Amino acid sequence: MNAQGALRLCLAGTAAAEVGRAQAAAADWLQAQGCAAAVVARAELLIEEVALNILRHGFAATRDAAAEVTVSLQGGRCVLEFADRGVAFDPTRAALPARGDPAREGGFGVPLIRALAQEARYARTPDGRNLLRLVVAEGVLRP
Amino acid sequence: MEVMVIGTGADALRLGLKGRLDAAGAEAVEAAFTAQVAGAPGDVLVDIAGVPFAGSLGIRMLISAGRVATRRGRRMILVAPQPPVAEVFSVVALDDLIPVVADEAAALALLAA
Repeated sequence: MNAQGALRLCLAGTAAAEVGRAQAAAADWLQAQGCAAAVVARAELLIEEVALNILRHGFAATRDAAAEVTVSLQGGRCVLEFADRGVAFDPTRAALPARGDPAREGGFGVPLIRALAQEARYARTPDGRNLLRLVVAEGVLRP
Repeated sequence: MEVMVIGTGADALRLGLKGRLDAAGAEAVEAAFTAQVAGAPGDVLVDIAGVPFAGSLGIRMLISAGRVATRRGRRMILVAPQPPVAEVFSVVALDDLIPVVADEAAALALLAA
């Protein structure tokens, strides 16, 4: 672990603008650290997919919706960590929608997360938190 | 995020999307975009060269608009995605559902085929 500082963001509520604010802050920070444009774009997309899913589907009452996102560079790799107290959800194991399935209109989040993250690790803590750690893929994506 | 009518030629309606198609952008533009596609007199070309980012809500918006066009017996084609956007489209296999082409000439060739 070669942490080079981190950016910590707290999101509350279900507004899309809240996620947009986090994406913009993360993009600015990663650009300032000299990350490649593709890595910044993938990190932004992962933040949108994961954070929006947590805020909109993780909580029974929207007023309770909250998530914490930490962006860091570890050993030169971009790492995104998400923590929330919503219902247990493991995107690393959730079922993938079938290719070409017309019903998959809403089901893009999970395939995007799996394709754009080079490593994904999920844990549910005994005190009821979801922890998701994603390493953003560099270089050309495999299909 | 905005929707523009670029041209209403005899061959197709040309729309342009400009701005980030993130969650907030998709919410802001969805009603106007879908209304334009629904009201098109024929096929629709959507120029997305001005879109630097597309997330899954944005992709969902494009798919539902594409379906609106199909239900009316028309085709909707996405034209000129920037590389990061093309990458996302390819990850979700969007072109199984909506044709995506590099430029207007390719779109017109597809309509003529």
